[in-house]
Amino acid sequence: MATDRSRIKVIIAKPGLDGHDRGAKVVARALRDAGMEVVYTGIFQTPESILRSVIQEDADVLGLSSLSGAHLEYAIEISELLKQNGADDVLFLVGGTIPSEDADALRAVGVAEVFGPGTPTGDIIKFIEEKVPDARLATA
Amino acid sequence: MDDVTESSAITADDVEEWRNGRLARDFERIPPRAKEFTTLSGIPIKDVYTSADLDGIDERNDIALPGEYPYTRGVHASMHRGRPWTIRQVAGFGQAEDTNGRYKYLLAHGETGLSTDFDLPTLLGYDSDHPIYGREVGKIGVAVDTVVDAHALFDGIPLEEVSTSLTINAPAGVLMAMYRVVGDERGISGDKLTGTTQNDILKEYTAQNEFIFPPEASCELVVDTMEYCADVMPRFNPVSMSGYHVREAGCTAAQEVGLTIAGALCYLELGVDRGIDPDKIAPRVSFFWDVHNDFFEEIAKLRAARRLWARLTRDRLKCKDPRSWLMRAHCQTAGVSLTAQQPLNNIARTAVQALAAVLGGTQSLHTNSFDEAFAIPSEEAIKVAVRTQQILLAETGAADVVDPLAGSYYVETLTKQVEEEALDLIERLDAMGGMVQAVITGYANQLIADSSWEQQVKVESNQRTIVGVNDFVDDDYSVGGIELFKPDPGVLDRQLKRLAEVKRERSDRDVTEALTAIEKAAPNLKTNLMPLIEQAVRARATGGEICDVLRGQWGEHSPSTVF
Amino acid sequence: MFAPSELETLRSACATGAWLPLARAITRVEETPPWSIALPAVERPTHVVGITGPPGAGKSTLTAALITTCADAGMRVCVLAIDPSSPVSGGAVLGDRLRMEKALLGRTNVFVRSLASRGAHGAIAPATRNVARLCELTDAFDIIIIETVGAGQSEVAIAELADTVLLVTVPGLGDAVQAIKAGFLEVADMVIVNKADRPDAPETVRHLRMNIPRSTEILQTVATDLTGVPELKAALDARWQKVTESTDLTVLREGKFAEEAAMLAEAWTKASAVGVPVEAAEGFEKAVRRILEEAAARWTM
Repeated sequence: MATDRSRIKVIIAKPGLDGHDRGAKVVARALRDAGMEVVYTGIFQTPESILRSVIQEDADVLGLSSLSGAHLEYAIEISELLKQNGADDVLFLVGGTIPSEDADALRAVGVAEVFGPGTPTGDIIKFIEEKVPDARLATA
Repeated sequence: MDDVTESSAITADDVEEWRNGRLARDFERIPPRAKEFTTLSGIPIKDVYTSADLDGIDERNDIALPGEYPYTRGVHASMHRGRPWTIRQVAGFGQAEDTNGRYKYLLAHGETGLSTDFDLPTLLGYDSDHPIYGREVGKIGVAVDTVVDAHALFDGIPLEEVSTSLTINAPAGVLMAMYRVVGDERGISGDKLTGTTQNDILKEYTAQNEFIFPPEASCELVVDTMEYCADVMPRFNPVSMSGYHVREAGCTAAQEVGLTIAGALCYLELGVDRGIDPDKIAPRVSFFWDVHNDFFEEIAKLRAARRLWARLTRDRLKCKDPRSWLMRAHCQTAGVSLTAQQPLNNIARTAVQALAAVLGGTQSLHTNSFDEAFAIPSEEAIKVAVRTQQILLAETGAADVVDPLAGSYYVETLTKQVEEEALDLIERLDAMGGMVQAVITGYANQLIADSSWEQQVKVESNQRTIVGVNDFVDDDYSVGGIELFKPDPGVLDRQLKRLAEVKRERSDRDVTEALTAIEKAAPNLKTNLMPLIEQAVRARATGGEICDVLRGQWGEHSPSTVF
Repeated sequence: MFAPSELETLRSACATGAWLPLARAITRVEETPPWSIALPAVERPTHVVGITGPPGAGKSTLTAALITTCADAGMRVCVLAIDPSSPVSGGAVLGDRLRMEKALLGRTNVFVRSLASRGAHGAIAPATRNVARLCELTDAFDIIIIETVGAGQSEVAIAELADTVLLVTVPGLGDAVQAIKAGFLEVADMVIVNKADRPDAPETVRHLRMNIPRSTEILQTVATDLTGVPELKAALDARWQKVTESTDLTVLREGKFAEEAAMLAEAWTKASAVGVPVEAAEGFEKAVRRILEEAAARWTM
């Protein structure tokens, strides 16, 4: 694997007031079982606290979990913060209840992929393993 | 058994012969589809059930008749032959008038009871003008800041005739007081108001995460609301003990029953500690169950829950009033079973789940809409959900017989198994000091998280097929040409204007006085805060203002860190 | 491994609160074999505090409370939070940050990094020593807290890494003394009895007092509402002051060669199993020789 890292580092974050965390916790566990190092920030995060986690942990991947309808606003704000702070090479993923047109809007602001409820965790793992080396190398 | 004319019971030996003979031969030709068969929750399913399985089940004492203790067969004698279950679809988005519009749409299409979802700020005791959470206002529920919004919510709705369920927990006391005040300001006395507040705070700590304050204070507040309702709105259900959320978070059917009933016992026993007669508050404890995919398990679960509740209220709590023993239940089809892949399939799933609720004896039912894996329901999809219930009622005969599965060798066995497992969990929770302790130590959260993980493993290793997700997969995400619900971006502005207006027009002195009274009383957890909360609500204090006072006195609870 | 100019750049970035360069540098340290890292000597030492203890003692809550108290007193805080890697998959769920999130809200002078133990026997990531040293070299912090799991031989490992070792325990662990392995009690500089508002707390304190050296302080805290935490901070400040004013710090730090050698040996053994380049062997030899020389110098003193 052509990454300068032996273990993929992932942040899973839940922005805002949405407390549905079953999916986020299941994904965190699955990524761990796939050999990744996962920081789950918990619920009630702000865009600033998420940015801080991404930066301080030097994350390869940021997974946003949102089942609250405000995913677009949060993703846009976080995407901006990542850019402003030199961290927009992170692989930005969003999971949750997302209508397809919102998925397009998310991709337009730099989200690499959107995963709906019931996405097999294997698909998410595969996606990350394929994409991470590219994202890291791009800044080298 | 070759002689067909002999009439007698089938014995265990007969079954053994059948198993090693006919069944074995069948399996030689066509092997079994799986190594073992279990219910969705993991209870092993035998290859056949016979009358021998009913040994140890007493018809008179365990099954009885409908409307008769222990109510296994239903809480009423007539059940749906008399009054059918209430079609009660949850609705909520935007401002009060937007949700009011959907209420009217649903009533016009034949729903028979109202149910409200609130937006996240309201659920968590924040106002629409909160500096950070503006973007969440009105998105997945209705924004209600003051009783003025509550008035608008029920505009044109005859509250003496229609019951409303308010899906609200941490600030339930506030919304309950708003309902009371709306009725009162319309000249409707409290005893004419019917409805429910969900108000089951324990499951927030373990599953839904819509808590504000720490567990001890929050549970005492629940007791406040129970006493208040008994005095002031005697036909209103202050609590809807929720199994739905812990189930959605991943626990099994038996755990759903055990955790939920343990929670109910917790509130009632706190009430008894305060000197409240349990018969005063137990009759208005209602329940809210998930109806998941495993058809027979869910029916058995509802029967088991009814029986267990009757036994515990009568024998453990020593309730004397038979109304205290009745478990009246609302059900909702399982949200977690809805797929984004091939969404129209969800209509089939929901229909079967709804049938289980009907055959299981529910008093009220919400059926999910097929587009809910993407957004809150569109009008077209929610209509299909309502029609599903109407078809069950009118066309299938399911409502024309009471508890038809009674006596089924399988279902009675399953009922007993769920009851036993649930009781076992309740006893374990008792041993560790009850539900509040289970919450504080994280035991309940860990139980649910572990179950949730087990289910995920089963699905991903293809031990459980989900059509469209891990089998029969294609690229179809179509919602049949309907337009998905889109939140109106103008909601926040309009709500801010209204809130500002309310704040301008109200008497600051009245509000301050009322909030100060709450502040003074809050430290004594055994004082009933509800009359003071009602006073504040009347003065047009906001939910956020009232909750902030309580935050100041009680502190805030931090989310569980369990995996 | 880090040229002086690189360290300068790092210092400037940290001074402005731009954490990304430090975060990236930490990753480099995590990914470089320990024998290839030769960090310069630390000229301006920072207090390195190790927090350890049995599961359920509230270590993370106490760490969060310490972050809050120190940061609000104007200190710049660094936290290295270590969680065990799965022996099966090699991955990890790093769950300490989650417990500190509230303490981080709105406080820009706090840097938290989660590290996976990556299979180390001491349950402490092999890179931890060098990461801590790197953080020290940035001059960006007034205190560096290393929080570990209370498992494996971590009590010994943490003692070799930290200037001050805090052992956190709680009442109700049955026999409080038995619940803590003998090794913990010996290496702790301070024992913190958390959840001290519990009715069985005084008894726990008494029992501990009878079983640990006189010189080891026992403090009581209720981390969830910060009770006792300002006192803990004051005790830590006092201890650091005393240590830096004497030559104790040199003695304290340079004597920790045994652990460093052990970690190097472990890392080397692991790497050898999968094949190591020839140049690495030289680096390893150099590092071991340096440690042995230091040890010899110490013994002959």
